[in-house]
Parts: sequence; structure tokens; C-alpha cells
Amino acid sequence: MADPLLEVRDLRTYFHTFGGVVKAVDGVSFDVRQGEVVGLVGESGGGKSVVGFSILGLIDPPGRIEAGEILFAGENLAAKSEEEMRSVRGGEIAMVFQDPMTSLNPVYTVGHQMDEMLRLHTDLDRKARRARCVEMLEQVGISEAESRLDAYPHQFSGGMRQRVVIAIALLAGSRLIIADEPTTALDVTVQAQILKLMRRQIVERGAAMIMVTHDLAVISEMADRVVVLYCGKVVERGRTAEIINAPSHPYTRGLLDSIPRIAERRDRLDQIPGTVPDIRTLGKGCSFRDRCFRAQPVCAEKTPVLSPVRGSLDAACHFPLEETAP
Amino acid sequence: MTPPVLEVKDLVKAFPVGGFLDRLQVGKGSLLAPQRQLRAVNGVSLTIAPGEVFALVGESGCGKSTVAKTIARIYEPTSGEIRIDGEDVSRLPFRAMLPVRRKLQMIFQDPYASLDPRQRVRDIVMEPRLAQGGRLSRRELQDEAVALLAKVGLNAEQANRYPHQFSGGQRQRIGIARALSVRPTLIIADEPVSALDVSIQAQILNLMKDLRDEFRLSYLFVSHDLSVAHHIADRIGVMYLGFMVETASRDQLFREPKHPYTRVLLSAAPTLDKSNPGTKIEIRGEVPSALRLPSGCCFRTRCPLAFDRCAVERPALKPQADGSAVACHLHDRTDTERMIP
Repeated sequence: MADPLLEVRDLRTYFHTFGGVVKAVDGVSFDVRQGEVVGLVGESGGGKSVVGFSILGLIDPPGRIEAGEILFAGENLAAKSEEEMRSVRGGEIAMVFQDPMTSLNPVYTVGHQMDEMLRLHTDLDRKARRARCVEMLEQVGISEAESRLDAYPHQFSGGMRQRVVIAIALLAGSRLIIADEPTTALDVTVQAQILKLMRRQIVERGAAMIMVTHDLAVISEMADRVVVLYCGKVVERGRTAEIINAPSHPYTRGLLDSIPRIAERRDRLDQIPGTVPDIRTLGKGCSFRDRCFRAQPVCAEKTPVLSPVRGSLDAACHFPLEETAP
Repeated sequence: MTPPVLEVKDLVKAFPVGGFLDRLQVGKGSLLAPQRQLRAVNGVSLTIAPGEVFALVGESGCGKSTVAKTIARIYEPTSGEIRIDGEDVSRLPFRAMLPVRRKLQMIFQDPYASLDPRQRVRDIVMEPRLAQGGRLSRRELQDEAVALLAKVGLNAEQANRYPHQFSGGQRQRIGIARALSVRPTLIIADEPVSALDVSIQAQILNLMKDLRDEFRLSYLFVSHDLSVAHHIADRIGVMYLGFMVETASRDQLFREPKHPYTRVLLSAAPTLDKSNPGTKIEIRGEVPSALRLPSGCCFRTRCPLAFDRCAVERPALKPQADGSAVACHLHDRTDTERMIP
């Protein structure tokens, strides 16, 4: 098997607030291989966005990467200086943010913002850069690209803006794209177009993508592998089809069961009881135990470690679910 | 048959847009400031029977929330009829609306913005009762508030807290308790679960179902999420650009969607069920501006099946043999010559 493009090893990102230390990411490990889409899923507060920001070194005080390695093509990004990271961002690794309304600068034209990426990361001349921008806009499905380059972001609709953001992310030929809820702000018909576009671009370029989202349905259509986060920890990871069809961690199961499905209508949705605990006051033991239907006394005593369960699935659970679990 | 709880006929809501200076233009040698209108809702009709859940679905900007808010008279309707229990309330002045609000309450999308941060929860949930002129002693108020909160799964001790002490899901429960306080027959819920995490979303959907059974409520449930609408609704109306393009029972709509837009919407929604992956219908472009509606059919600019007539004539919502109604020229004819395969 090919070497992974990105290896995240035991990443810990903590926020030191007045209310206590928030362990937003607490020992997260996963790999991303070339040509692959890896989904990070979980509910709000799971730490999935912070993982994405940590990889790009976008953690501001009071937050800090406390420990762990982020190996990108063999180099540890966590040890790089801010100066070095600036050439990584947008170059080798690009990011697509959730909100296309705010991730573009309203006072510069779209062309200017695309050009900036090429100016910083390539040594093409002005004409070649312009041609490249036009080509890129066409690839993401924007017609009359030449004239659209001189338009300002407010002259684009939400879907079009997200296309521009994706075009910018793809411009410098990044090998890894981190997409943080890229289609959450979009309508379903536009979402379908954007997802298809992103998937095609990843495959064609042999790049890789980390897709951060709360939407398991999107993940099931996009990702090759899934990492499920809960309270800053990986609770389960494995191949998408296996996780969606027969998850081994009760939390993943609960998430899947609480989504209304059109194919099989149930009178009531199976709900996960309770709410996400306060991440500052987590003690030892499994952080999901209070909401878990399989919890035993041992769950409060010992923190479960991520270990192989079956097939490609790893889970952090003392009592993982069998494949045929009810 | 029992009369419908809500009957809306040809509801139109247009918003004037642009300031005076924005609208200024020179025409025929003089300075003009023509009135521009954003036509958010263009003649929507719907009825809701007692105990029925009617879901309005569509993408952002399709006017589904505007319909909900206009029915609740948060917006003034431009024209059309809104009948609640047979009484036309579309022109009632503010004071005369008060007794109507005993029958109709609303649940909002954002559980953070829809509760007054300076009021205690018990006062929030009893506010509609007091607005109705209810005279209650302190003791009665407290008891009623606790009883209401119990209905939505919150305990007595929480009645004295403030909204910021609750999570999003709990706040939405408070919003529901507030709506229930006057024992309405109809609740208008505008995207009540879209701001919540999936596990919490399931809790709220289950609660809303239970309450419907317990109090014989009708819901007008606005949602952009088809699987949520499928879960809770008895009937579904699909809106596009301010028009109702199709109404049908839930099963009919999902088994046999008729309007091309409904088909697109159903096929575009990502699902966990990988039963038929390769059948996505391609659709190009985005929703046109409501400031300049297309001539003829609202969907023709993106419709894969559009033909000449669609640009000329606006299709009306016509009842079909199976009880659904579709606004599409392809379903207009009695013969099957033009029926979509």
C-alpha cells in the first residue's frame, strides 16, 4: 500500500479558557492516502473542525497544539514555524470553508483573489496566471469565466461563490484539500453539483481530501473512509460502507438511527438520550457512557482505547456492537 | 367531513425593495422612481385538516418561510385569503387577531434568538397565556408553567432558569412549551429542527409527534430537509420561487413525484440508502431572482423537460386523479401523449 499523504498521530489541541481547559481534540490519529476522501464526522463540539484547523496551523490563542504529529509527505507540520506554514497553506494544502459568503474578500474582485493564490505559490507571469484562472473557473462550471473574473463576490450567488472558493483551493495544485462543511450553507440541488465537482477534481488530480461535516448522508456519498469524533476523541473509524451499514460503536449507531430515512419509515426515530457533556469536566472513562445503552460500570472506570473490531473498523469501546446487532 | 383548521387561498406576498435612490432612473426625459417588488409568494393555496401535518418543502428563497409567517400574520398578506376554522383572518387588525392567536401558535427556527434572554423560562412559556388576558395568581402561573415544561420533558427546577442556561435542543423544547400554553389547534413550525444536531433533532421530532397525538394538533411544518418532512408529514407541498408546484400525500410524493422539480429535489438529496446510486438527475444552474420571475413556468429555466408552452403560459396547480395536485404543463392533459415516462 502507498505511503499515506497525511498522517495525524495523537493530535491534542487544547484551549485554555478561564472556565478550564477545553480538550477540543484529545489524541486523534488517522491517515489520508492519495486519491482518497476521508470524512470527519460528529456533532457540534466533537472537535472535527479543530482537527482541520490544527492541520493548517490555524489555531489561535488561547488554543494550542499540545502534542502530536501532523506528518504531511513526511514533514511534521506541527513543528513548522508560522513563516513556513504560510507557504504550505494554499500551496500544498488548501482549505474550503463552510460559509462562501464570508470566505471571500468583498472589496477585491474574484479574479484578484484567484490571482493572489498563483502569485504567492507559482512563478507564472501575469498573462499565464490570468489564463489559468479562466481555465479553473470553467472547470468548476462557471460560464463566461473571462468576464466573471472582474466581478465582485456579491455579484455571485451562494453556489457560485462556493465554486469560486473551490476553484481557489484547486488553483495552486494542492495535494490535500481540507473542506470544512463545504456544502452546509447550500441548497440540495446546488449541493449535489458541488459535491460531484469536488469528487471529480480530487480523482482527476490524484489529490486527497479531508471532508469535515455533520451530515452522514453527505459522507456516505463522498468519503472512502470515515473518522467519527465525539468529545475530541476518535470513537470509530473505518471504510464508509462498513460504518454506514454495520457500525461497531454505539455512538455511530445512535447517530445513524437518529437520521430520518426515506426508504424505511419508522414511527419514531431512535434518539440518543441526553446531550453532549461539558467537555471541560470530562473525567476518566468513556465520554459517551451517560448516553450509551450498553454502558457498564467499567465504562466509567477505564477509558476505552481505539482498537480493531472487525473488518476495517477500529472502535474505542469496551462493548463494541456485533455486525448483526439489533 | 370536519372543516379544515387552516385554508389558504391564492396567498400573495410581495415586498417592496430598494431605497428611493436605488430606484431612481431617467425615463422619457424625466426622473422616475418606479416601485420594485420582490414577489416572495405568488398565489399559494393549501388546506390543513384537524390533526394533519402539512410540510412545506423547497430550497432557500422559495417562499416557504414567508408563507408560514404570513399565515401567522407576522407579515401582512398582499392579497389572498387565510381562513382559520373558517374565519378569514387575512385582513383582521392587530387587536382582532388576538383571539385567533389562541388557535394558532408558532415555533421558530433559531432557538437562540426566539427566547427573551432576560426572562425566566416560566415567564417565557406563560407569556402567550398572559397576552390573552388570562388572570392567574402567582401560584397558578408557576404550576401551569411546570406542567407545560413537564410535557416537553423539562423539570420543575428548570422553570426558574434563564434561556442561556439551556442547550439548543432544550431551548427548542421551551419554544414548544410556549406555543402549547394557549392550547392551540394549529402550530406553525418554521424549520424547528434545522439548527440542531441530528441526535437532538430526533428527540425534538419525536416530541412533536407525541404532542400532536396528545393534543390533536395540526402542524404546518416548514423544512428544507426532505427526509425530515418525510418523517413527520402526512401531506407535503413543494414550493419553488414562490409557487406551489406540487402537493401530494407523503407516500405519493416519494413513490411517484410528478413535477420535474420534485423529481430533481428528491434525487439530489444525499441519502444513506445506497439502493439506487446511479440515478441522480442532472440539473443545471441556480434559482432565478424573485425580482425578475421568468415568464410562464417558474421552473422552465432549469427544467430538463421544458418545451415552448412553458415559456408562454404559467401552469396552474391542477388536481390529479390520485388526489395530488401538480402545476406542470406535462401533467395538464387528460391524454397520456405528453406524460413524463
